[in-house]
Amino acid sequence: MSERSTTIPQRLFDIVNVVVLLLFGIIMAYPFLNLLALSLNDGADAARGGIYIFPREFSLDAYKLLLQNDKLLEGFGWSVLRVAVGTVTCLFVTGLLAYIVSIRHFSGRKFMRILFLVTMYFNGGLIPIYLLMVNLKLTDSFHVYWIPSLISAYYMLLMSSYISELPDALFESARIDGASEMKIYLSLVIPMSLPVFAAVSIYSAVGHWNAWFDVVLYNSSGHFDTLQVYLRRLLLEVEASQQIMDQQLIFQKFKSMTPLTLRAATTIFVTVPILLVYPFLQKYFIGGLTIGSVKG
Amino acid sequence: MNYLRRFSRERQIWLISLPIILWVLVFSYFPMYGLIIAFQNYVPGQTMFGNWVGLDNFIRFFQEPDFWMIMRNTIVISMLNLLIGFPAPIILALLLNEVRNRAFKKTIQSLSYIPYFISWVVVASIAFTLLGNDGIINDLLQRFGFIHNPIQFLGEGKYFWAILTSSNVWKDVGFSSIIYMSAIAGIDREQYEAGKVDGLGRFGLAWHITLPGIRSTIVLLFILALGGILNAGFEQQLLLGSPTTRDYYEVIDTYVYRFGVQFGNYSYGTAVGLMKSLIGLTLVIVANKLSKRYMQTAIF
Amino acid sequence: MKRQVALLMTIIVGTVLILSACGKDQNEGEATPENGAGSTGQTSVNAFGWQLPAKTTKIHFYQAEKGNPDKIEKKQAAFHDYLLKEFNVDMKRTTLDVEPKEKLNLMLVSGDYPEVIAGLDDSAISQWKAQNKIMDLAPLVDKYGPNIKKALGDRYASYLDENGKLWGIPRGWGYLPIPDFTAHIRWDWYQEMGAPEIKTPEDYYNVLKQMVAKHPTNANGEKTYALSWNADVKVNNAIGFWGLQDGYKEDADHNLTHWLNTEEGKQAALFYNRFFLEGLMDPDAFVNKFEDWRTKFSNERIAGHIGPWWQSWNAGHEVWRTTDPNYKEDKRYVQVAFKAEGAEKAYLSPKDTHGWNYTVLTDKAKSPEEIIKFLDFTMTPMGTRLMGWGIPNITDSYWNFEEGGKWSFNDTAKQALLAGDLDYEKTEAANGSNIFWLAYPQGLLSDDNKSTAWYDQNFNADDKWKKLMLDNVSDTIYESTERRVIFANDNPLTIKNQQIEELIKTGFAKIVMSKSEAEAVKNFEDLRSKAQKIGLSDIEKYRTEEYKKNLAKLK
Repeated sequence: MSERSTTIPQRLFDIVNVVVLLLFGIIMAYPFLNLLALSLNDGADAARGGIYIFPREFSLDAYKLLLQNDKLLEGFGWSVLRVAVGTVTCLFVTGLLAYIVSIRHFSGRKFMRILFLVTMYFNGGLIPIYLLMVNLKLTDSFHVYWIPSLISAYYMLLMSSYISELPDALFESARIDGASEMKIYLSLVIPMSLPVFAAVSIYSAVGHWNAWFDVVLYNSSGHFDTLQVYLRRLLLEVEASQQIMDQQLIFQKFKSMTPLTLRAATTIFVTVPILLVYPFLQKYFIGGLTIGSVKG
Repeated sequence: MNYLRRFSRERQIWLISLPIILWVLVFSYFPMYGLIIAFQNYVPGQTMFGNWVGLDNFIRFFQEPDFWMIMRNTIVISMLNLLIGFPAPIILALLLNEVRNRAFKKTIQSLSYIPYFISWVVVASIAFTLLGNDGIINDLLQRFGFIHNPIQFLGEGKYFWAILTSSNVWKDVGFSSIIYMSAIAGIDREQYEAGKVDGLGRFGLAWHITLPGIRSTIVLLFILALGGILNAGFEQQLLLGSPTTRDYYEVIDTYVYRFGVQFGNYSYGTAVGLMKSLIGLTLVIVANKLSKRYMQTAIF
Repeated sequence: MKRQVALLMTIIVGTVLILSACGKDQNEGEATPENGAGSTGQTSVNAFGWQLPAKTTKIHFYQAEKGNPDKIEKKQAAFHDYLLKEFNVDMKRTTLDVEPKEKLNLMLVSGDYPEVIAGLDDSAISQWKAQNKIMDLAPLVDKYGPNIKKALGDRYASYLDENGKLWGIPRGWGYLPIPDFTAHIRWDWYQEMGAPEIKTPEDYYNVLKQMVAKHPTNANGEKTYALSWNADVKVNNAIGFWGLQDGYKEDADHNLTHWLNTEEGKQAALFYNRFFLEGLMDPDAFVNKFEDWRTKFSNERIAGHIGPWWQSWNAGHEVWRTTDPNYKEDKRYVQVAFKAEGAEKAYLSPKDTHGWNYTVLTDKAKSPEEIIKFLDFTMTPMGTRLMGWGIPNITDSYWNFEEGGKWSFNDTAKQALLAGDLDYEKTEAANGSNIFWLAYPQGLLSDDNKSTAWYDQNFNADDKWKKLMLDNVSDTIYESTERRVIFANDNPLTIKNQQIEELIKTGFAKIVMSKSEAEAVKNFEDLRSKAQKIGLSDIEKYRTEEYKKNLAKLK
């Protein structure tokens, strides 16, 4: 740390900065701690409210109940697979596209960018897209999770804004050496753009992990239910049934409502795996060094 | 002749582009035929090529009794998101960049994106325990004698925009900062060394090297955010809002959902969506032009 | 790097292909028809008098409501097996966690829908029949549905369209005189006051005010309130104490006037404002979500309640029984009713006997007559009992059934229910009570005029507290079938009606939360003029017309 000069105002800034970020971290972690406390509390007691960071009557019942549901493990499997396949394929293809639209001498560069930009603003709506998935035989299959999300215009723009800053001369010399575009993409672009690939893979992974709408819409058979879907079902039970006048019907619903503590435990169970993705990918956020070494 | 030569030089790139173009035609452009229902009175099950009503669905939107209210809410909430929600992740990324202790930095970074995973249902219930009449905040304010009667943070419209904006920021700031963190990581280390040689302090380095280094990302995201100006949120409004704050939370999306889509009026929803898209895309094009001229950065 | 990526991709794509292939297999395996008991070819009659079909009758249906598929799956397994074995009927219900309207539309446009759909409302029916995707059931009912006709009696005609066609069979129809909405009062606190008589809203207000004065805070020192509400508050029921029926006043010629245009409506709104003015109304009344409200309620912070009968059970003694070690049975809420001076009656629980919605047969139904035959069976009193109470004669049964039609309630389950110890989740997974609700009524059954398909509503006379509730409020339950009005999707009034309803939700909250009576009056008048601007009088006119039409039709 001696590389940086440490004058008093800068020291002061460091202290203030750490304090501010610490407070910030606490505010950010609060809902998670709150849910954790709820999930570790006795069910009947939790209904009384007033639980913030510590459980009042400790109990592991919610987790025991949670683990009895063997479908959750299956859902976990589909979720992990979806994230792995969806993220890798999306990153590979979208990254390739981002590289192509960053090549300065490529005459179709602007055309391709606009072609994809438009898709960010216009889509055909639920019904035509649903019919398309049915006709392509993508419903009731795992493929509906990754094929339609292969390319994202938003990620393309993010990635190409990074790739455009890379030294062009490097690619030119590779081309002169006879390298194919695919080879340049694989052996130069990807290694030099690791930070943005890491950032976009976090976005993509999170998007895949959190997705539920396409699951319930296209795979209603339930064979490919992901973890997120199970969580949503529990949270959805709480939604009041405004349109129903017959109170006996509503009463039946509330009678079998999943307890608060089990909902909290499920939220924890569904959230923790994806929280681990960020720390894992953080190590790629040091791309500056890579560029330097390539250049040198 | 010139074109042909050019094409043969770019043959490889076009070859790669071909399947990608095919994909976007099939998955994005082909379903766009669905947009024509904006000019019809479409009932699912009927053909999508009949029952034309011209611009009726668009006109209806401008004649809604609450039109001015929802436009005001949409624009105000979007502006607040843009003014506060947009710079927040940049500031967070800059502050994190100044942290020297790696482990601390990593921890805060990882904590910062937790709220993104908490569903709005849960956020709403947390907001209630904090901001309700018996919530912690009212409790503290009363205990320290700032107020005598609890403030109805969630029950009065005048607080709603502030509460909504802060919840949006709280939920998204960490997640949005990831891309800036990666952009900062992409800045050449040598530039910092050079900056130091030039006698720049830490603020100087942040101002003259870090910020310009992530400028293209900032401009890109700002242009895109402008295009989304009519998307002011949906779920958070419905969950944080209540009958008493409706005059402040109702935005285009909630309104169209409630009075169009829920009654099976897909045409109306599509028409309003189409209008929003056109305005959004226009804004993006204009912003891109301006940015090209004055900032020398463009997204296309 | 390149090789690694290629390897990774290969592995992943390979896994995907294998796994998705597995998924498909599983899918196909399930789709093969099951061979039930009756596939032997000979027919026989079972203990319920049901003629076993020669070929298994398949009734796989989608129920158009939002639900948790996992729970539905769990609940139907045992009953499915029972019906297959004893009736040779293969029933399977699908309920999804997708917006049902959306799912129905997607089914309609994609042509991917099952043979039977339950839960279509009137506007969905008109959509499906316009596309010729559902069957006219009238000829089938004429031939195979004597019990359907018998059970529906005179009202059968009211389900036919103008051409005499029957597009759906109603679900959950009939008159069940149990309350929906009532006023509630904290019973032990009321008793300790000497239980002064409550005949008018004024009395109720005074009693609650005294209660709060006596118990200003709960055990944790938190402030108590006389009333609170949550997002489920229904204005029309809250003003029923002033003699308004579902929000409307009726004159001698059956003309309907909306409560905003009546003096009673104004009085009612101002009444609730008084609670707020005196600090007796929870200021979060319109902000609370059900769970927030429930927490407040169970923390003993609310003395009274105006809302669904079960809410004060769910949030009151059902919580205290488990959390309060010194719990005494008096510590609970009791449902009460009263009426404003000058009002003829309090109208709190409107009962639409038409049914919730309908079950339809689509054009894909292969043997519609067999399906109708089974629906016909469920319309017999004993058939309704079977479907409503589930499998008889097992440990977790709600009832016992003997050959020859003799039946009795299972005493173990009944005692558990009365003691409040019944584990619904466990028993209903075992017996499948009400999981396949396709056509039968929720009203009283014709053979004893006492039992109903809702198992838990059969012992209201045996349960001390339910009996007390019924004694107090049975007078406020009324039949509202004639007031039934359909706001179809293509009716321009539908949007107006919805806009006015939203406006009222906001406006009513504003009136109640007004900071002075003068402000409340002003807010009331503002609300009225805004509603009129949107077209309140059109709605009044339409409702009156429909009401008069129905009166003529049902007489």
